Amino acid sequence: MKTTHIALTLRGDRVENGIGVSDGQVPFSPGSGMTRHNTGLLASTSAPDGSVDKIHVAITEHGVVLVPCEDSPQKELVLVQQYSPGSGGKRWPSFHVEFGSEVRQLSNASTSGGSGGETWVLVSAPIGWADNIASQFINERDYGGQTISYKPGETGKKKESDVPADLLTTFRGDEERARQFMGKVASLPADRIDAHIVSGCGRARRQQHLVEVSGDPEFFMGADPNSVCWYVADVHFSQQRHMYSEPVQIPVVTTVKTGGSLDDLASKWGARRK
Amino acid sequence: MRLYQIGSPGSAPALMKLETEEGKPLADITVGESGRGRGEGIIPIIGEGPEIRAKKTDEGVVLVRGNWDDEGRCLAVINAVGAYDRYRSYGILDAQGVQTVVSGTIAFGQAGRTNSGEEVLAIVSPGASFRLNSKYASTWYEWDGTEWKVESPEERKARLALQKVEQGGGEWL
Repeated sequence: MKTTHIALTLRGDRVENGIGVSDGQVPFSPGSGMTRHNTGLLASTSAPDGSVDKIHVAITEHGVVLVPCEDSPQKELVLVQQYSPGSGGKRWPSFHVEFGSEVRQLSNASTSGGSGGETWVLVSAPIGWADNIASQFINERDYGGQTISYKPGETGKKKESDVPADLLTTFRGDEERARQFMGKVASLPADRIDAHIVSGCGRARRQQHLVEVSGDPEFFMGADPNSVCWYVADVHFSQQRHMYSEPVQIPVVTTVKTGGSLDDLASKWGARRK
Repeated sequence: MRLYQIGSPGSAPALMKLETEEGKPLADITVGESGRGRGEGIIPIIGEGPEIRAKKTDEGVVLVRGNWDDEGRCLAVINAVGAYDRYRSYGILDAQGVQTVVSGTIAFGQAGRTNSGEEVLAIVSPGASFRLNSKYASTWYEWDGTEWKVESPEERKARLALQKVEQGGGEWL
């Protein structure tokens, strides 16, 4: 009994039809990490170079074999490309999958050293599995790394949350920690908070002041004070804010002709000031 | 038998020249190296001709050149030692059809104790296979009686898996 699989490649929030084939193998070609060690065999196939779409899958003691076919698919064969970004991309979230009992892991290949790393896993999964995983992954800069598990019926990307998006980003997507911080901010004694320090001073002064007022040395929970003080100000001074914010006269610079010298520009400003 | 040399793990086997650069016949082959914690083997070569056979005597092994019948076997000088790594296992691994004739030892460190491995002169039978480790990767060697096949473990597994399925083996999902 052969089950026809539709071949898919899953990488973060992207699902592509087909699995690439080169030299009779499913090649392992990661974007991060090093592959000077033996990486492991994902699968072999007699299909020509290119991509396989519908396949029968055989398991031997040496490895997985993909045989192209044309039947209608009953399952998915997904090449899951898990990754942790390397040098130059570390502010982007890593992508990992928690494989449950709904999938059968067939083979894997991984990097072994270098900056970042990738582990590709070939799995046989129920139809819709790859789309479900991809739909849950949030691929946004400064968002935390995610390990995603299959949740049938859940396709929404971002949950509706009352946590401010910037605060969520500061806590790398950890909603629980963000909420914990919001609780700490709410319980601050408003009358002891110095609006000038919170809104206008530098990182060290802000940190010292809020730690002193809260009495909690871990008040910031690892977050950068400069990235979260806006929230403290928002909660405690949002109604007072208008009282000390005066309109500022900003000189309007009209079009500056290209090719004009600095002297021309200076004389223009001088004329305006007179 | 023809005489091949595998200069280091991962390198392709090459026919060994039986003449020196000056055009004189090669007098001997050395395997391993001399020194503390090391072992050296010197195998003299006598006679004339394109083929070689190894002859065991009470004093040691001698390589004799001549016009011997090609039996599908070959001789190979195999250096199984890669670049320095304290704990990497260097040797002729998972060997089948490989008969060591003379063995030497190549080692690291002044006393040869940080790590070591062997360099051997071996008779390789048709169908023989073995694996050599370099510092990071492994390489499979297979002699089919006429030529060598050099593959990574992944390439070898892919080939064997495909063969298995073509012969009706394996479990279908």
